Amino acid sequence: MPDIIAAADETAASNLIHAAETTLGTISKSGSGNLGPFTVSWNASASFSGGMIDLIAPNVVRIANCQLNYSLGLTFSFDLSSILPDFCLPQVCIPIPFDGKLCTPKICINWPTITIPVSHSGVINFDADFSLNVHLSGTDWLIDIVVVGIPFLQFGPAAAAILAAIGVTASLALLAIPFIGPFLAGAVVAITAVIGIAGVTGLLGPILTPFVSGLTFTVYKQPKLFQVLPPALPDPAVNINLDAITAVVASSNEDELVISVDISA
Amino acid sequence: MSLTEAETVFAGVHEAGVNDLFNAFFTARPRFLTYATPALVPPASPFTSVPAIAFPGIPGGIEYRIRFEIPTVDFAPDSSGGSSPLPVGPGQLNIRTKVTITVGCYRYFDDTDKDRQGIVTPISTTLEVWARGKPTVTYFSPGNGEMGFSLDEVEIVDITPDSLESVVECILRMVLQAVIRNVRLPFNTLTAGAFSLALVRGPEIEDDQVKIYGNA
Amino acid sequence: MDTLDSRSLRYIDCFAQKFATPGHVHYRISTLAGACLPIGDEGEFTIDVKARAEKSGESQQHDVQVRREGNKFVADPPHLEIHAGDMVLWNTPDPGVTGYVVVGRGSGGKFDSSALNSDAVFTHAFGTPGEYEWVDANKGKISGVIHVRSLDPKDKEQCQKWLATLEQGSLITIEGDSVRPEKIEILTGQTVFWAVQKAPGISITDSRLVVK
Repeated sequence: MPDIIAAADETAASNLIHAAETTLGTISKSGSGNLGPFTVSWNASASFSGGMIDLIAPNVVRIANCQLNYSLGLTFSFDLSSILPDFCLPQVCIPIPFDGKLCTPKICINWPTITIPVSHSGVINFDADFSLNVHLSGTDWLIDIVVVGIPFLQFGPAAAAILAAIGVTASLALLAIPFIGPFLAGAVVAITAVIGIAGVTGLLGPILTPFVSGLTFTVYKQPKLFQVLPPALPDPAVNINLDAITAVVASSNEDELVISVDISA
Repeated sequence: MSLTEAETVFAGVHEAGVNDLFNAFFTARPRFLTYATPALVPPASPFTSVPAIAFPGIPGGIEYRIRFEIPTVDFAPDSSGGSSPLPVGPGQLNIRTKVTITVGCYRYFDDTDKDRQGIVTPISTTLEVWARGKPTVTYFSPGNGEMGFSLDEVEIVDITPDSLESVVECILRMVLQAVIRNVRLPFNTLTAGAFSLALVRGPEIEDDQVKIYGNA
Repeated sequence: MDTLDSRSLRYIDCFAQKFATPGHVHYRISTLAGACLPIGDEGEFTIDVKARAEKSGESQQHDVQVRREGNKFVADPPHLEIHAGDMVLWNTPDPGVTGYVVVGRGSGGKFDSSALNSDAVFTHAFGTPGEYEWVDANKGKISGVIHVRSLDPKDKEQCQKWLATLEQGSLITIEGDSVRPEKIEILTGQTVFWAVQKAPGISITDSRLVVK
């Protein structure tokens, strides 16, 4: 029989796992990609919270409706000449007082490349199974729950919201482009049409999926040399060695996370 | 039946684990095993200093030393194989140790010597001590508490007459209880740091374990 | 908002100068920072103004394109032969060529696009709606207001009407301290001509660009 047995039912395990989600904190990543004819650089941060915990023997922790709380900063570069038509101001001739007539040449408008920032935050719920993994990391014992496979993320609502945000931000940015007035509404429609929800979904996948791929929560972390009592002058600390740890899900009349520990002086 | 039963968290420490904890405690803090007047302690040996027993006519008082071996614990059911003179019942524990009592025996060189000079010769005896008691708990705040031990009876084998045995048993029960009172096991240790535990039930002794139940 | 400043010409601006006196002119194209330097005989580009024969017909307009080659502005063509009374118009088709000034002098006359004096024209095509108060950044007293109204065509017919208005320019005449008209209203995309008959070297500059 192990020296120490600690057990938590699903209620307590929920507290443990939600605390582990908080401890994981916010993860940040950045990168770049393409969205139709446009280039996108992005930074993203994500944290996790919530979820219904179901313990499944012998070693699975199932989290349903785990929340992926994300925040995205996207910077789109649009070459407006790929959306707007070639447009030239015609030659303008007027009579002038000291010379019969003066004519300006045809002036062809140069549509610039604009860069617009789009920010979006949201929550995506997902379900995932995690398996228990007990291991030593340096001088610490860790009990992790590690995601099995790659959870499916539903991007639809987020993609629609981002596309709408692109439209709004692009519209504001385009207002500052000289000579665009008559083309503005069409330009915004063209931008969002060229990108499309499918395009945004295709962009979100590579951005957000890495946050859940390999997702690991640490539910237990203690040093191998475990302090029982702190120093109290003139006495030193009292420590024990955690020699071995196992973690399983045990099933009887209820499912429990059971941690077994062997110690030595 | 689940381990947590009606509560949400459970911690159980086997008597072997408690003995490892006792071992760790007294190895780190050996002064709690030896209580002596300084004259009877070898140099550099850890001990807790006590004053000599003052007595008129004995210069400096009676020097003495009480030294315990690291105690071992046995939770119910009885694992002593019948050797315990205080076998444990449900919810009880045995603590077993050996105590060496040393007295600094003072003898005058010459009873008629007006200067009253003499010599101290330590003489010792070692006794096997059995105690029976139960776990205690001190609760500070939700999730923050300690487990300790209290001793109800002490038995020393083979001292006669019985009245002498009773006197020695009483003294050793008081002394051993004072020693064991220093051993405190925080709830965090009982759970090996897995979670905080707001105590609802326990500590209870059964199956060679001490068990506590609560909420995380 | 548009950048309206005759001291810093862009592809939506033109500068034109009438050459009334036969002679020879050297000129340089630079940024405003170089405009104060004297033009010697070594000026890069030249205009030969020949006397106009009586029956030579109406005066003509000669167009010079301004381009960048490396760090320098170049005129294309670099040398012109014109007749007295002709106008030369400088413009760049390249949106990347910005902030240039045309300054010249010689026996055929002197001119400076950043300090317009006689028989000079500055044009600007307005691309952004808004209210533009223009002033003389060379500390003169003249000023005016251009109100640029946006028109977002809702259908093809409206679009055609708007395109037709782009061929119509508006004229502001400046003579001494007189500005006529002081206020005009145009649509986005239309061009305004400032014809400077006589002035002591003025600029047409958005008042927000003038350091007070």
